[in-house]
Amino acid sequence: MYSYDDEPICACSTPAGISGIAVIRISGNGCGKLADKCSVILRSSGDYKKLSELPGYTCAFGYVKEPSTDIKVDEVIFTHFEAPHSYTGEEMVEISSHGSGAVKQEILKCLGMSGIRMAYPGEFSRRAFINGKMSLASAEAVMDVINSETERQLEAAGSLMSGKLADEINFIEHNLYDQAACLETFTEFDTEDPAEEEAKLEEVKDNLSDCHDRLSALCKGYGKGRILSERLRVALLGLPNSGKSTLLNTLTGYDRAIVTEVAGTTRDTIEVQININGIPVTLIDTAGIRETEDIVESIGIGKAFEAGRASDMIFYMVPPDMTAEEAFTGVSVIAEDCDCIIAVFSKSDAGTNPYRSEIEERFATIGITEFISISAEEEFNIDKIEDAIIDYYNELGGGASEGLLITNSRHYTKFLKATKKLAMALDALDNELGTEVCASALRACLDEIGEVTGKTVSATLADTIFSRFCIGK
Amino acid sequence: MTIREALELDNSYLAGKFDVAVVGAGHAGCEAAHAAAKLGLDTILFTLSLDSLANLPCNPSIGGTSKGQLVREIDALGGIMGIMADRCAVQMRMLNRSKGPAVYSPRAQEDRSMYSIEMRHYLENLPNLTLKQAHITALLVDEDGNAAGVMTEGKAVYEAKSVVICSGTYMEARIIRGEVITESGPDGLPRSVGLSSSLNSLGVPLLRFKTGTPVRVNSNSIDFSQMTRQDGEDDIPPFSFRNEMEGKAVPPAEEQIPCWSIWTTDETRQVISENMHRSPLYSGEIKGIGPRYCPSIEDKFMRFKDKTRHQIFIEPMGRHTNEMYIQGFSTSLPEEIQEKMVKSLPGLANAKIQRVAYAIEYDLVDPLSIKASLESKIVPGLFTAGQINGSSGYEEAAAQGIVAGINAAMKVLGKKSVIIDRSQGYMGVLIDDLVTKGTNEPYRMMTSRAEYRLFLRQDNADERLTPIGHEIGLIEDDVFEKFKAKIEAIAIETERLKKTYVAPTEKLGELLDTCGQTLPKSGESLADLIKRPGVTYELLAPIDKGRKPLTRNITFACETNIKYEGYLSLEKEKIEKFKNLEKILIPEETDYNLIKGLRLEAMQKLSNMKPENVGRASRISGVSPADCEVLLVYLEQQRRRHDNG
Repeated sequence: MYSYDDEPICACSTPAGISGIAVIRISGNGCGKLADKCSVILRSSGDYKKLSELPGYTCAFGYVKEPSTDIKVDEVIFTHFEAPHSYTGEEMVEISSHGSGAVKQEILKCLGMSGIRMAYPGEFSRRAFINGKMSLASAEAVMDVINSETERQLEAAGSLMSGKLADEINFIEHNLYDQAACLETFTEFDTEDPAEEEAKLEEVKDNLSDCHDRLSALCKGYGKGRILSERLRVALLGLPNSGKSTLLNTLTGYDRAIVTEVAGTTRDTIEVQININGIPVTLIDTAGIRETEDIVESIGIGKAFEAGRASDMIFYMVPPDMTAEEAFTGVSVIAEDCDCIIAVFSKSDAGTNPYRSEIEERFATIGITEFISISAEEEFNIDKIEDAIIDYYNELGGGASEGLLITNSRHYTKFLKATKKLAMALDALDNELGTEVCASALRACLDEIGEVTGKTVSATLADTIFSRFCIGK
Repeated sequence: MTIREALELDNSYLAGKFDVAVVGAGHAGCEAAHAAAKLGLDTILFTLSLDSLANLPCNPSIGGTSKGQLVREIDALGGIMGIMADRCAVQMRMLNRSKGPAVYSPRAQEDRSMYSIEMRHYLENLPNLTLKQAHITALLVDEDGNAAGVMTEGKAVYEAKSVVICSGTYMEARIIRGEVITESGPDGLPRSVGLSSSLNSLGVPLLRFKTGTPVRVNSNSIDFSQMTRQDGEDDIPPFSFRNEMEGKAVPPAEEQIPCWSIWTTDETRQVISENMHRSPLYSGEIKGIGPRYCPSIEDKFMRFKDKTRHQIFIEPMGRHTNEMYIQGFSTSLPEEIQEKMVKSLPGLANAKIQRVAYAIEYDLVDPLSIKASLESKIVPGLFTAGQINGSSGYEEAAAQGIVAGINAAMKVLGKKSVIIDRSQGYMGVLIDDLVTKGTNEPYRMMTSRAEYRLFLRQDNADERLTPIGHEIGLIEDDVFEKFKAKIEAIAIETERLKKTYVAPTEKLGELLDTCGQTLPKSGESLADLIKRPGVTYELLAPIDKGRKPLTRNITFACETNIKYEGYLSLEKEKIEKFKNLEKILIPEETDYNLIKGLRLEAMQKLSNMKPENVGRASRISGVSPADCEVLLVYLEQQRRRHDNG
């Protein structure tokens, strides 16, 4: 993996969490042309039409769009840097966007779709160093960092993991090495007892598929692990006056601490960070939507779409006076973008929605089957809302236990690759392609795991080193 | 000793001047001399006995698992072992047919006398090559310490610009049979005296290994009815791609000589265990380290105690002899015990032993002191190949021989050395393992040592190495043209198979049914069909109308490339990564003591071994991935410092 490639890379350079604005950095020669695919320039001093045409050190106003659908993601300021006059010494683009987590994620996704990969931790600094943009004195300092890291050697690579997770990975790795050794024996030497070999081969198969299941489980757990580091995003959608704000206030004020409260991250939404049963949750209230007769517009499709798509779950508010038609039109806009939508019949103290059974029927056709009736005013069934959040979290990752959660995205990528290669190894045995073919895929799988455990030579400590300058710096 | 000092000795004289001198005419020496002479250099090949040139002192067989791949590679690069093995084979088989094509390995039983005679005759006729029967007792250097020639026992001094030493098991050899120890080379030949101490006095570090060979018996005294017969095969390609391209086939199976297999008996085990105390291996008399993968029979019984019996093969030594080789039965126990052991075997109760088994101990050079070009790091201009570098086996020796011969020639020509890397061939794996990891026992090639095994197949050795052979001048233009035509034919046919779609007809259904496959719902490409388990290129013939007649080696390559496509691309991905590190060169003058961050052990190892590139550095034991990162950063820093003036 350690190669001085100059593939275009991107990452968010401003700290994780919510801020007024965020800066997303792109580096790599040719990155401007790739970014053209997901950018639209609206105004620039020289009337440039494309991001890649901007001269170095100039800015333009425009927006980031999804390259396949042209849907606008966020209005931003683009800054272009020409090689070698940039931080890394390569062509660079910086995107100043709004600072919500959802926006950042969306922009990075669009860049990915345009062929710009996520940077490894510290990769910008490494490039700056390699391209001579860091002074020799800084380079010496980098060597010192490496020096101290070297002392800790392999532990450094494994420091992101500990306890049960490390045990599990060690178990998988050891077991796979054992199977690899067994396969080598079959490949290398002629058997003196075919029946015995067949039985042993079955054993190998069982072990491989057990390891495959374990690796898959680890990968699934990443969904949950990610939430531990990035929070669960829960959006409250609905008309003004449908009870969102009251619900928000009840949830945030109900005998638990508000961690932070930052308004205006996407100008039209409020994000509030709370903990429910120890689960870090970001509540998103699509507040400030102007009132209008047009139901679709009033739900704020644009914002709802945006917030909904980046959310893990949505509570969709249905007040007592909402018709089935209104409710369905509103929810169907976002139904495809979030796989956990719960309909909330709000203001139950003000009466029951007369269309409830019709609403439930129509919602079921688009996969929404959970309904909760609440009264935030009277704090009726608020615990059901909380339970829904807790249940959702607990079911993530197939119920993987807390100690076995991968939280590091690099580890996740490696394990995902390892799982795929292990599946190929199993296929080779199932299709009787030969033990050496199975062994080959198994070795490739072990290489991937080794890049996490530090056993593969190409597992780069430099990555861990530069990762001290967190991603994007 | 310097040339000048040698010439000042009493009775010494200058006997000749050559470009390349090769010492030892075993399989390494013959390949080395052949390569150097073929590249136009004035070459001399010394041997202790011209009658034993290219001797097969142990098993008269060439090839086998991973070794067969080596022979194909030597041939693809322009060597001679494959041609000789084809010419003198008395039986040929393709091993591992029940496994995948990556480990298919050709193996031949050779006529031992013929092999030696044919090789000698061939070399006698080779332009630029002089054969000389002589006992070389010293390596000579110039005033700067570069290899500059050799001296014989008779004080004849030969000057040479490069010297290749392929001393096999001869240097300071001792033959051991129980308590009887003789100072002798293998097979009753004289040993080499003085050469290893001459190397040592120049600072070359030495090691001592042991190996062994079993008894030979007269076939008239064998009862074959108690044995399992193993016949040869004729539907396999010859070793040599050059023979294959000319359409030369292996001899028909019925003209081949059979081998036989048996199992050891309880009596064998008993005889051995009762006499273990008389084994020099266990009494401590033998200090050399033996090969783990080719152990003596007593070693097998001692180490694998749960195994009550071991398989033994009885193999012919040639067409003009009754001698049979008892494979898997090598021993260093005393002669009288050997007699009892052999007679305990099925069909050998009345066996007449013609040659007894023995263990042999010999001096070798620590391979950690040589470079990947097989040139010594200590004495420039000295190359070593074969058992002197710690390997075991004819094929391993020959593979090093051709590389040493090429590089000895390159050195004289002032050209860059030729290095086959781990992704290009077993020979690359072999040499890289020896020179970067060293070895503490005779190193035997095994397929599991190759990390790109699916890619390093016997059938594509030419694809990997013939372009290199042609570029350096070992492969003639006409051979290369034929090779290119073959590669093109494979590419065209593979493409055709990918683009030709066949309808799900009843006929196709019948064909697929024979290997338990179901008919696709819609049209499928021939390539996708071949990817299914059990489906072969051959099988699809009836529904593949556009098929042109192609030779089996071409269709086999197409089939393999398609069937294993996904797995091959995994290996290609790995090769890419591997090559990235191999490309980053480490300047020879690098002072590892100045690199902050290297651990002490890594610093010492790297200083001693001076690896040529980061890839090799990463494979040295004691150098961790972290050390490599430090090295990479340091090298990059140096490069920039240099670039910025």
